[in-house]
Amino acid sequence: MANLAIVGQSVYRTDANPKVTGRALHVGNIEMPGMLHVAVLRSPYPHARIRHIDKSRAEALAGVAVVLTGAEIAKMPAVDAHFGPAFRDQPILAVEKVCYAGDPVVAVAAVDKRLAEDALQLVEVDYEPLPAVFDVLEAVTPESALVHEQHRPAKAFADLAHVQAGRQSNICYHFKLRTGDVERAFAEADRVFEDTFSSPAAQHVPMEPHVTLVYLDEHERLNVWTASQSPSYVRTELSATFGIPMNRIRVRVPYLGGGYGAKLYAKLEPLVTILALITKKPVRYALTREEEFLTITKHKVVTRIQTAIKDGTVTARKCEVYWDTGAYAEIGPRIGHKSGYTSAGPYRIPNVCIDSYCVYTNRVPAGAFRGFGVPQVIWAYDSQTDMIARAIGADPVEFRLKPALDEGEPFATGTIVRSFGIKEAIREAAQAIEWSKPRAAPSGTKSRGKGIAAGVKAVLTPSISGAIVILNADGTANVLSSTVEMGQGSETTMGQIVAEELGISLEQVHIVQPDTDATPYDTITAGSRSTYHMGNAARSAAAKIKAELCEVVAARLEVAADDLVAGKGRIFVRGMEERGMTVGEIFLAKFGSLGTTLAAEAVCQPAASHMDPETGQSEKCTEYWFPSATAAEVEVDTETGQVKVLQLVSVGDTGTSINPRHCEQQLLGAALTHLGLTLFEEMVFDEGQLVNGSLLDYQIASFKDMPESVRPIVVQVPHEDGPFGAKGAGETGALTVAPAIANAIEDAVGVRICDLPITAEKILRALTDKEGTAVSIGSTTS
Amino acid sequence: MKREITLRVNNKDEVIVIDDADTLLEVLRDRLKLWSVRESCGVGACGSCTVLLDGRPASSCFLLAARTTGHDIVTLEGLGDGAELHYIQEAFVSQRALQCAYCTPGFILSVKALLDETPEPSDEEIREYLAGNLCRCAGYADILRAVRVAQDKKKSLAFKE
Amino acid sequence: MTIRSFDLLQPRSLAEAITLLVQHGEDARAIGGGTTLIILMKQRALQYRYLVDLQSIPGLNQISKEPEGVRIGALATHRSVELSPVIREALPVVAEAFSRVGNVRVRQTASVGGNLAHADYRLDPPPALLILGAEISAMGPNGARKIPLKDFFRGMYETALEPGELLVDVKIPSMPAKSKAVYLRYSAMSANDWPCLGVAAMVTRENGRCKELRLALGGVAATPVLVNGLTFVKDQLLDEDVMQQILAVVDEQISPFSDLRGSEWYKRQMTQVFIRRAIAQLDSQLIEG
Ligand SMILES: Cc1cc2nc3c(=O)[nH]c(=O)nc-3n(C[C@H](O)[C@H](O)[C@H](O)COP(=O)(O)OP(=O)(O)OC[C@H]3O[C@@H](n4cnc5c(N)ncnc54)[C@H](O)[C@@H]3O)c2cc1C
Ligand code: FES
Ligand code: FES
Repeated sequence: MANLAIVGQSVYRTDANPKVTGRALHVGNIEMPGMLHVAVLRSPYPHARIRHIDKSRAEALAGVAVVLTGAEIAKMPAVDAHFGPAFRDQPILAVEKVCYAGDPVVAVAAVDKRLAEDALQLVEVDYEPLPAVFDVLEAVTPESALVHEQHRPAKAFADLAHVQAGRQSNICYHFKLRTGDVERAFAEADRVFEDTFSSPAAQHVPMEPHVTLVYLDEHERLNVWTASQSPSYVRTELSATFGIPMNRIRVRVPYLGGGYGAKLYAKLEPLVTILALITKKPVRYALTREEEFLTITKHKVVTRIQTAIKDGTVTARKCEVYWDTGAYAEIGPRIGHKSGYTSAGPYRIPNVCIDSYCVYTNRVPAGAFRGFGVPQVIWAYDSQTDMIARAIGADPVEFRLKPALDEGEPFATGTIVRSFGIKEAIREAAQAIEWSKPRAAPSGTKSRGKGIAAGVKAVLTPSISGAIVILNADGTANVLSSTVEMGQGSETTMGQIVAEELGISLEQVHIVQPDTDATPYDTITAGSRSTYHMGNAARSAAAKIKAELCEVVAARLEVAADDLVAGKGRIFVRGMEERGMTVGEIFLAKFGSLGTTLAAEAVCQPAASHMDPETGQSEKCTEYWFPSATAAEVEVDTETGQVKVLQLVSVGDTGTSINPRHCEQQLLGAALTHLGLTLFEEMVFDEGQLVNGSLLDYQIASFKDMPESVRPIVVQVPHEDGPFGAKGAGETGALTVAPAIANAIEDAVGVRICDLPITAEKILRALTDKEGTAVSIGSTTS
Repeated sequence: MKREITLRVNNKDEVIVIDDADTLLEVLRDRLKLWSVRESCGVGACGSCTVLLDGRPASSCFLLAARTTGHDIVTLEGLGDGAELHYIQEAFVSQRALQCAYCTPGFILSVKALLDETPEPSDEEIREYLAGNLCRCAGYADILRAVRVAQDKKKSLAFKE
Repeated sequence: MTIRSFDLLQPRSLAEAITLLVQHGEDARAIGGGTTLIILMKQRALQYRYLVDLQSIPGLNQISKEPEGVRIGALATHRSVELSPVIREALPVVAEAFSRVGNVRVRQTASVGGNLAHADYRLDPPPALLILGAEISAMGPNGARKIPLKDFFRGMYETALEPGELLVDVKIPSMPAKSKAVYLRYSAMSANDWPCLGVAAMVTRENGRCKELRLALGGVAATPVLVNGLTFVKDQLLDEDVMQQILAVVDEQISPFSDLRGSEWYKRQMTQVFIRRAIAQLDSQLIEG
């Protein structure tokens, strides 16, 4: 890699200037003449039949353009009243019944926001409450209330082609993995460990809440500006929902104020579209923070995990994973599948049995969240791994290192792992925290401990990214890509990749923001897939252009095309910079004119091989892996249970770093965010009602929660097919934070918390139970 | 009630008709198109809507515009001379203290107020002062460094004068 | 979230404000800093046709030193209390308590009167003001009156103020000689969160023994609690025996309920931990001089 000009350099972000001046374009800054604003009435009941809606008083208000109900949408010809990426189960507005407290029921579009909200207060809805189910384990029992009577597969994504129309059950998807002889291994085990772990519903809290603007242009084409991580999918979904040809829908996405998975698939777009179609006016809907909490969540997960130990090693593991996907499946089945198959861990375990269930409940829908469900399963398997190590007297680091998979070994799915720096990651983490050094003695009420955690995520496969690179006669280039810049630095990364390939400078590359009229299909901007997939597509497209340039130069200079390289805006003979041509000269030679462009398209489309539906075995279940390790040092106050994280080290194998500093930033950012998710974040529900759905009550990690010492460590195990060896980095830092902290807490005070978040109160309870008395605070406790 | 008010924003008097119920945030964005001021939590907890009111940070989401007449309001658009980046902005760029950057305008204005109030803050004081500005990309470590760089720059500028 | 249209009334005097409030009755509400009121109105949990702007009345935001204490005008902001040299010097515990509220922007806007009149059970400032024996001056349609702060909080979001009556200022007596006070607030979740509970304590010493102990707590009952019946500590050493008695007395007088920041059980436990810590801190300060 030594001869790379810009890949591998920690260049500054190309979008820094507009961002630091506040001028970056966001959907919320876009206004259209005559634009209407939306307010939505949401269900107060978690499950209820809609008996009657009286909207006449709202409609009578001057300035109100439309007051819309789901029943009206259901009657519209050629409109599918439901949408969704895995199942078409989510109504644009509730039809006949509501399925969670917060379900949109009536929408108003009016000339201003205040008026729209005034109008909502005039709408009366008569509900008949239905029995509801809030607990994922209860929802899988035959006696449970049913959230949906039928399940209708969506067929939107190749990797979800296998989801099936459901029976009378809340389980909308069941993934199975079977390998080896699990029963026998358990029968022959020296010891069996059985534990249950849970991880609560949480919210992504992108600082920019969802916002969508839709209008019809002069050709009556549907124009959509939306804060979305999946512009291509939004177009597909709107086309399917409204029967509009794809080329009559234009979806554009400017900068996103954060996404973290919240802004994937369709959210506000179907509703805003129908309001625009009805009113023939531009319509914008910006969610309030309170509505954001009622729109999409991180899956609550309960995992039962049993592990068999023989001669000090893990011989078998059984995992039952229950994903509470809420009222609508959203992307739950993908998560149940992709995260489900990793739930036994990155270890050599000969006998594995996994059942992963995606389950409906009458709660806010759950979807992807930085890590796509993998943090929840690692929470379970890595916590248990640590518990086992301690129980059998093994060193927790060694206990992980020994069975950790090596390059070339099969994962539980049978897939051979490649570019798999899990051992390096564990070692780096252990070293960074001085694992082998003796622990500090407790001082007063404070005890310190250290913890390590490890785990792995697999990238979504199959998936598709297309890119077009256009080279201009002055040597500058435009890159057409549907990857969304949401803070991860993709514009900079893509710019570096294309600049490197074409031998031009970063400033000479412009990344065109997603616009489905121009930028090719991309599955999603998520799952740490863009650097690899879009990076490869962009690089290949640039390589095609370079090849064309080289052909011209080779002919002109009478050299072999293979001897030519690109650099400093020229194509020249390797080792002889003066023997070459500029892009302008090449254009003149090729076209006889500078008034033209050279364009090339490329698609990156890694395939997966068939996965056996009964055993989950697949020759290739994923294109690449993200090994992660976190090390934490904590101080626990034994009188209050409060945890102070003193050190946090986030280690991730990102493949070759295109921009090392930005990889570090991704690791640390994800880790700090997950600190909050580990210690206090939880959406608290009471009988299906969210009780902390505002930032006054729902807390996320703040400046004050950041540990004194934080450190990212990038492990670079190059991937042979990655662009310049790169994989990705967006989620890796999130994966192993929670168990690292739980493990450190046990190290410090000897108690084990199995239910996230690890609040001070839970620790104090555990300490109290352990002591069998109230903790040294006097005899007056009742 | 509608009323005409004069708002002093970024050193300019803006005469506008507002509703008494309009928040300062609504007026700055919807009327004056100052897009750096952003609504996120709507309840004073996140700092995305931060403006400087007579040099002190305020949440424009819970201020009534009608009650902010007679005060000096500064948004990120009014920081520096408009031609070049202000040194706090430069520090945010050089320390990579921005990712999605939705939180950035609020942070920059808060850092400005912090350094004006406390030219040499301790780490503790920085954390305390900025605790009400939330960054979900969690760039706090980068922002902390940016504060330090801006602080040094401010000092060297003052020294030159 | 938008606020339903209303009329902002901007009186120039207290008398005028009271007249407006009386005239419009339930349709009107006084607004101080507005940090609570505006949020509730944006959520449309509260709706009024008139808001009576107390900021437009001159002179209500003064902080002044008086012969036997400090007087804080109702419209003084939290931040001005926190930073006031007068208060930092004479009543550091008050500066500390106000400095713990929310974030710097909230404190910059929120008023002392609004904080007390809001009467949330978890607020930081009330416990500190309670141990110091603060007294409220109120003015209403029936004239002016004084209300000791300990009689002010009547229930969750309920105060002793009558309709149309306004909080004008808070008078805080000087600290007794040889006394120290502290406010400890405990956030159980994010360090940036509202308190799970807050404990204010004041110890006065005489001849190496305790002369007086005052304790007040926030977050452990529907209102802030000023602990009664601590006179037995007079002339005692604050040793373990006495501590046990103190904790028993406190435990009787609090009635915590579970909320997002802790269960009833946890709040009882933490009350004891933080009372011990507060007293230990004061005792050592007093011994050291
Ligand atoms: C993000 C955030 C975080 C917070 N965190 C904390 C925290 O950690 N700790 C804490 O203690 N508090 C916290 N608070 C609450 C804060 O302390 C209160 O919002 C504030 O004190 C209210 O003061 P105000 O002047 O803004 O009141 P307003 O909103 O103006 O008024 C509140 C109530 O008091 C009435 N009122 C106001 N002034 C008077 C008067 N002079 N006479 C009679 N009635 C009056 C109003 O009619 C209204 O009913 C937080 C608030 C926010 C928004
Ligand atoms: S939007 Fe105003 S502080 Fe969050
Ligand atoms: S940079 Fe994204 S929220 Fe701060």
